[in-house]
Amino acid sequence: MSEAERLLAEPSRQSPLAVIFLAWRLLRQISLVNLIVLGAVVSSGRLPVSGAVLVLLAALALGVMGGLSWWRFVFVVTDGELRVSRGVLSEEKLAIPLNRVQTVSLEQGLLHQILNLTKVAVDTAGSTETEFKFDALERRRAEALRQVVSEHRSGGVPGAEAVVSAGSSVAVSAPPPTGPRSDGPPPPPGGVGVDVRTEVIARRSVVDLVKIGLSSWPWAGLVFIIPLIAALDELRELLDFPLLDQLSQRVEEVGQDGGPEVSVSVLVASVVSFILVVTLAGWALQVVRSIITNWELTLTRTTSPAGDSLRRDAGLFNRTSLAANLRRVQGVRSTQSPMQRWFGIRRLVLSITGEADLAVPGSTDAEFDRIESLVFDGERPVADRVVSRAWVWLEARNRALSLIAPTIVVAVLFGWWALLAAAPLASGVIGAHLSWRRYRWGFTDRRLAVRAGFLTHRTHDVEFIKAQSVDVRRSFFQRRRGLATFRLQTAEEGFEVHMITESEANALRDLVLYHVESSGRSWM
Amino acid sequence: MKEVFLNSRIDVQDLPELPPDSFEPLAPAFLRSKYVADAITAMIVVVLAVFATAVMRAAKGPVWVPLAAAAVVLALIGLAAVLQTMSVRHLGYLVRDHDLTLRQGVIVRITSTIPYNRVQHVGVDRGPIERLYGLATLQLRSAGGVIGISGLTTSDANRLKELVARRAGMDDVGRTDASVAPQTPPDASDGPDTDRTPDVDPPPPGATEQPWAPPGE
Repeated sequence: MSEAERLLAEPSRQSPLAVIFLAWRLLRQISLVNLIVLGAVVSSGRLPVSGAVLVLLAALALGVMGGLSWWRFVFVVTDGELRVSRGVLSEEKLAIPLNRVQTVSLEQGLLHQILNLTKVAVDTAGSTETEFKFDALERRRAEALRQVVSEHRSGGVPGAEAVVSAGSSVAVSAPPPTGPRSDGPPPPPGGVGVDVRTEVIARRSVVDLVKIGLSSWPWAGLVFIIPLIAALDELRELLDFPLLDQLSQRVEEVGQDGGPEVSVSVLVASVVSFILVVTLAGWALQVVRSIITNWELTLTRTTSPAGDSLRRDAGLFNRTSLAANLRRVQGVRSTQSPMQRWFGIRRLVLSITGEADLAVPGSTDAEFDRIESLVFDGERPVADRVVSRAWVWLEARNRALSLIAPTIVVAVLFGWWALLAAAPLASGVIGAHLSWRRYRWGFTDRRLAVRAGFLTHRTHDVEFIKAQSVDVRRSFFQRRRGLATFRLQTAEEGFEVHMITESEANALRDLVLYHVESSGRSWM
Repeated sequence: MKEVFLNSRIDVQDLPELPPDSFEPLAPAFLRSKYVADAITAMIVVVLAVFATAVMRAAKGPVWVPLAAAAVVLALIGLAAVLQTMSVRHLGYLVRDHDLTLRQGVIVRITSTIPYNRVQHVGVDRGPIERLYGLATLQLRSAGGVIGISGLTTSDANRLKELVARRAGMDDVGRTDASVAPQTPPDASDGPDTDRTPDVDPPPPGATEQPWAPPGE
């Protein structure tokens, strides 16, 4: 029995501090609407008790419920199973065979980091949802759980290697870490006797994170700015900023009859300045967001007898650690905006069966090639097949149909201004044409690939063996032209090739089915 | 057992095709059961419309509002009946050695194929109207979704369920050891209306009694 196993062999509970997180979870389960109603009732003064007493009682109730939840949640690792007993009013007992555990994901919020605790999500092969979560487990025991799962896979059923459905998360350092965060690649577990090797595939410096932020769409940051603009009046009163007062007064004067007139050049300059300021602010917010979410992003490959795994650690305040066996990857997608092309990076996403995809923003071409070679066997497909040009015609027709009703309304209300509908129609057709010219697909004897996108380049690759089902779809439009859409459904996502000939779609379906049905390889 | 890796060339032209003329049609009673379901829905709409009209008249409101709403819903039910009639001609399923294919759709025609070795659950569902006509729906669930084949006779559905369960179980272990395939499930005709086979892929952890006690109890 290894040290990690001994640590988990006795039935035990989470850290007593888990009561805080359990109470917080209970509070979140009471919806915002209920809290508002409660607040309104309390403030109306209809209750015989004061608000403070009520808050005290509520806190007490939450504390008691949180305490009971903590007391009743007991877990142990024994006989190759993770056994959990939980529930306050009704008891629920779970027994999860360790060889069914897909991932043990760790996540540390700011409070978790301070208290040296970690959230743990245990996911199994039996469902696409997380089986259960520990709200606050000591980091040492969380790492031990990961290690035990990894060890169990390593010494799994003899001869099961070829049909083993999935691996587990990577093993991490056996001795407890000294700090709340384990920096760098995890060292191999000592004294376990399992041959585990680790290799850092990608690591992001602060400069990389700034590049990722700058190459993001700046307007996405507007969602943070809009509430600030809405609250401008309140901010002005709060900050007592004279320039804002003058600006506001000036705007009000312009809006009134008889007020000063504004020339077109001033108006244009104002609009341009506003757009520029908002864009710069959006970029700044994206950089901040990139730094917070991707801080010290590290992608580590772990090789063990259980199979190759990838582990992604990232985050400044909320430190997440996601690890998954490479067999669980269902497809690889990447996007590259013009700005990202300028920086020579792209966003890479591995679709993983389970909760979250494994995203690696800021991947260089070398990293992309490396990760792709880890996930896929064999050579990369040459995407040199085109799709039917009828695609452009279909897009134009759909755009025209969608414009009919607005054009009629504009024609009735404003007359000839309805001719402006030609602009979105033309832009739609040009956009469809450019997209069609970029769209390429191809396949090898194992793998299917699509390369698409005019401004933002997109790639999507999937292995035949990952198919759960395959469809050939033919709309009325396609049937008239002998075309079809091929769709390969994996456990995580759909993969489509549009507007190919019906014979190509049928041949592709037969090829995929042949591989899925003749191969002994598992999809996971 | 280490997997033997072979990488021989495959000629796409030699791959087995889905013969478009070999699809099995659904039971003739299927369309009648759909009409009955439409008729029941229409009757409910009429009753609701009469009730709403009476309420509106008593409240001296516009009587035409519930009548117009009912007319629209009845027209949609009629359209659905027409589409169902048209769709039956294209509905069909094809059972092969290693997969099952369903063909469906009127405006968009979809041919969906699910290999047996991807099936995780297989079950037979029978609603009240289906029971009236001796019909059943076969549900094949994979990790990527569900394919349901309605309009099968109960006996056909049960036979298909057994076939799929057997093939899926054998495929799940590499088609080498038939002894580990799931046992033939009981006949659904004597069982409950929804009959599920045991999970082909071992089930997710369920609530099972465990012979251990938590500390402090």
